[in-house]
Amino acid sequence: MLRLENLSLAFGHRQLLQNLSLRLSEGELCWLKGANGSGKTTLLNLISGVIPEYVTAEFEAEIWLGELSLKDLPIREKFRYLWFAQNDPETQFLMPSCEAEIAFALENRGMPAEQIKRQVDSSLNLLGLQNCRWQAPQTLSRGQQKLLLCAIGNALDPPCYLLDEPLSGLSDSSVALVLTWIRLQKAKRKIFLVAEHNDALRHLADKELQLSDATAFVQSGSIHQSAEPDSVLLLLKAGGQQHNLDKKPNLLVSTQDLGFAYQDSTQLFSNLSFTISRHQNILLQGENGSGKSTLLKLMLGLLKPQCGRTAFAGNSQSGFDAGYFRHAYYQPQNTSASLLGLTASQNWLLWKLSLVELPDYPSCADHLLSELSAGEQRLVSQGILPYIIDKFWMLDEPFASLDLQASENLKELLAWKARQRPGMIIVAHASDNLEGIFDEIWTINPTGIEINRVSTEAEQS
Amino acid sequence: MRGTNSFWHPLLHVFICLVLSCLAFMGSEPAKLSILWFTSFIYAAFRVKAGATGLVKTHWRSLPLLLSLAFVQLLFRRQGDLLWQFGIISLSREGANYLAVLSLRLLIVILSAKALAVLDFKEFSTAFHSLRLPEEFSFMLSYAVHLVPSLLSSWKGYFQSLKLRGIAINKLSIPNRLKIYKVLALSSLAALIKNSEGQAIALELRGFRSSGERSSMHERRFSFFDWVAIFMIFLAAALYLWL
Repeated sequence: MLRLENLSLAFGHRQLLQNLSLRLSEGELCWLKGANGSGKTTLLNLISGVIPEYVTAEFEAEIWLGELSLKDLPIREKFRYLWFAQNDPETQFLMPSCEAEIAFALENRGMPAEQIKRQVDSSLNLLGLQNCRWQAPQTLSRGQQKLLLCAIGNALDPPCYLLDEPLSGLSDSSVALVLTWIRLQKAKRKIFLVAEHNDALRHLADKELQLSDATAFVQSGSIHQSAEPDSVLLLLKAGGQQHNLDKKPNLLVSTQDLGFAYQDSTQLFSNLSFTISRHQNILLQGENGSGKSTLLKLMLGLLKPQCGRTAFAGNSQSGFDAGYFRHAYYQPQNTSASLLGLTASQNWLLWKLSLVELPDYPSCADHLLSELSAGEQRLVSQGILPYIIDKFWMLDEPFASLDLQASENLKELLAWKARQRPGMIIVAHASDNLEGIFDEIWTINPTGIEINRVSTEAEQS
Repeated sequence: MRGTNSFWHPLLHVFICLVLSCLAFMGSEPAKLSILWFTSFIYAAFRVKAGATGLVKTHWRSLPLLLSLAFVQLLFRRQGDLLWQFGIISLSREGANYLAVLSLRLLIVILSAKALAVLDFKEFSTAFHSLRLPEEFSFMLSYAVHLVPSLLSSWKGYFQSLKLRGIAINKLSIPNRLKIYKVLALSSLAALIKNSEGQAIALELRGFRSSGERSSMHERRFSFFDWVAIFMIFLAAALYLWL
């Protein structure tokens, strides 16, 4: 049994958790719910020992796993009792291959080589990563990296699992894989504490713990994070800076016979030819690892194709030029890559260098970016969207880590843009429920890209 | 065996890089150092992913540093025969000699570091495990070796992000450029600390530094060929020092 008793935690004056108690029996799953910044990750950090060993906070807590006090155990010894899959997989992999990544924890346990091999094999197969065995984890897609974290947990086989947004950024089939894995582990009487926004977890949850969102730094309704159409209209009336732009190129992206494969990996694309005009609203879908993010990077010139050509904004891609982005904006999947500076205001300041009409950032909304949760960081990075509504948006997994309210706001903004200022390509999954927004749905499959034209509400009427 | 970079034991690669760097500081004749530089170039070209082309680019990027060294030699070193003079600027034989030695040493160290940076944490761990050195040592060395490449890559990422915002840094005014450099310098330092912390957490969550005996999925021992290679390297190093 996992027991949390009288758990209180504060970062300085910011009280995040107060008098929280929780009991989880073997085979039970507790679903941690709450808005971005409500303290879900903090709670998992506290149980795993990241707080206080790496992050300083004032706290009181009694944390027991059976008869063992987890509070008194250093992190490096906790891997025998629990596995913590953190939200951001970027910094969690150091090994040259997925096999080595999974084997590392088992080697630290002193497990015999033959048993390690068996565990690695079964974990890779269970999470659908058998083809990625020799691939460097850093080259996997974010969704596959999430699956790899689950595979490490499966191989480690501890009595308790702490999972931070394990379903974020996963395709429907990958979500099904993770849910099946959790179900199997529950049957083996493992304890789960899962922080997640995805409703798919509902059927597996034995308990739900709703954390208060009153402590969140960045509220999804605040002025700079506002994604509501009304506020966009207000911004445009106040002198939208995009109206004075040069004439936009009609054809934004064109590719011809594009071919690409990562090192030590299978061919992702071959003979791919397509065009994207500046008024198209495209939803880009596909399985995890099918190449959605890679395709965007190839279009932009961030990756070089092995064969074929791409042109962006009328320029053949032989480099990467700031001039291409006068009419387009690309936001990568990794939030930290789209944030610059130490604070939200510094990030805004660097936007003002290219969009001089931007208002000043309100000092009351300023925070160190490193203090914000993953969802809050994404909200900050998306705060610019209403101000660049006329640009062609290329957003990679914009819904990952967002809470329900923020997701709804973003959907409204996308729907408004699709009607009033069309032009975007959004990477998302079917579970994000984006019907009625896009003109075309592009699905990447092993044979290429399948394009389905969708009749919009306007056309239907 | 797949999943490892090389047929040779990782410790052998660490040893080669160490020997090359040490010999660079033990010799002071430009001709001998040129031979050592050539050997380092060939070795690094086989090791790094970008091959010889990538190394030529590295040399090109090192040129400003070498030129500034040359300038200092021109100004301050006056001993030996005078080869050329223009006003207060002069080039003496010893100055030219010293310039060649310094440049070659620097290039050899850069080439060795590039070859060493090919090794990942796992390989460092395998290398030092065979010497019974603690795991922390592998992590620290691996982190130190990859520090400069990761800093450079984070800077590349920042400039890419600026371009994605439509900001061409070379078209900005000097005050704005300074503003950007200040923000980015602090950010990269903060990111470096945060990443190292993140990696340490990730490793400890998987039992790095835990108590008890470790095992290995693919035990790598020094093979006969590794020993032969070590012997040959010792022989070559002795020959280099003797000549």
